Amino acid sequence: MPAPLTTPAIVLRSWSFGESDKIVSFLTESHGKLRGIAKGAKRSRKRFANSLEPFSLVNLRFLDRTAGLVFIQGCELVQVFKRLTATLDKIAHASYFTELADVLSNERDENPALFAHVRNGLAFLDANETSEVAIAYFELKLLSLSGYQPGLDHCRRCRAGWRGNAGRWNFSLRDGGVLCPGCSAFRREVAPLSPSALEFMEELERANGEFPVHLSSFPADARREGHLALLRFIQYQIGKELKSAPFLDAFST
Amino acid sequence: MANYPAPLTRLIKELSKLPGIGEKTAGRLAFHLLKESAEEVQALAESVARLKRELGLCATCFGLSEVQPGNGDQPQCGICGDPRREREKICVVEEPSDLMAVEKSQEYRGLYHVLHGTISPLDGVGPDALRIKELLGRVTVEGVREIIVATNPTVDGEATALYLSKTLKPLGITVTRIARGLPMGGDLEYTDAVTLGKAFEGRREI
Repeated sequence: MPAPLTTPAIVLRSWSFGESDKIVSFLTESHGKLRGIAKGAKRSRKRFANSLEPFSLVNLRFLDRTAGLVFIQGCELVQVFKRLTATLDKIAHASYFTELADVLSNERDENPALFAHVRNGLAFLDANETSEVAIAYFELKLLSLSGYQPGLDHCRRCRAGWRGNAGRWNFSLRDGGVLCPGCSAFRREVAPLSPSALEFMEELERANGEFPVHLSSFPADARREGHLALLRFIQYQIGKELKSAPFLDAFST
Repeated sequence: MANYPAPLTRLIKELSKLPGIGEKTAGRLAFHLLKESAEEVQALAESVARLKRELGLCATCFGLSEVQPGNGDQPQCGICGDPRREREKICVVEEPSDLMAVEKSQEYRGLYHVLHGTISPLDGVGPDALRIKELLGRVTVEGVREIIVATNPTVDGEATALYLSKTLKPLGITVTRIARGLPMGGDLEYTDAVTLGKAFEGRREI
């Protein structure tokens, strides 16, 4: 019998399975994304008490017996982001962050930097006011950490820089970055970006490590354009719409 | 199962669709039924058939209700039809089984409203997919003064409670949430941090 493994993990989702079991999806620090079965989780007050709810940071103990579901032996709550369930706005943001982490991470693909970014994202939401800057920064860095880094500094086709280059630039979902007005004319799947939005995204890209709250001085339109372009790019890459995106739109304050 | 006669195979297949019943247990149940008298088996089959025929959702609270001959597709459950219930209070629950659980406590004498689910951002379930519109309709015509939200203490349950509070408070309704904390017979030492935190938050003077 294999020895149990332990890793810090964030609960992404959980589903009821049968009468008393749960299937839980975790983003772990050392094993990438894992799905596991927690036997008797709905009845157990000791082994899984409150530790299988989304957004929880836990110490996961599991047996990895096959390539499919792992067997969850226990789950110890490390940190509860209590304020994430205090308002609809925070629930919508945390759900969006969690779903992004779910769709942009790979099963059993170790990525400690991505894990740290998601953990920091939830901790930031827990401790701060929500904002489009936080959303766009979370999206952009997560894309970068999962191998989808968009090209933002010059046109992906003709290499022209956007500074001093007048006209309407766009974010091309297919090219994975910005296109100049001339090159965008031949692309259908584009999201418009004003010069201010381009500058906002460039600043986001420069920010490294900390959530760049100072960028809230950018106009609201620019921040929203940046977020919408990244959201559309993510949905284009994963080939489906994010379920939590309409909630974020409806309940963000 | 390959060598079983077709009727037995069919029954095992149907029984194994039930929650918590695997093929092995379904086989045991099927063989048990085979040993029972024809009358016993007929009574069981009739009970199952009547379940769908005679049970519907209450047109008011959406809890389970017997469909009475003559009231067509507008059945009313015993609780909604009971004049002794406190009509200015509505307890909102996720599922009919939650209503039964609250009733068992014998502590609550008001009315109910069953949402049939919860708002779930991660599953893409919005307020329109639940019986929230019908609750708003009841609140405006039935003279309700308090809504007690008894959804589960999960992320989805909290999202639903917060949405109801946001929607109902502007109508002048008092919206309350059931308390969370230590279970009777529990032990502080073995209680998780979240439950203990909630218990302290919800402490009251004695």
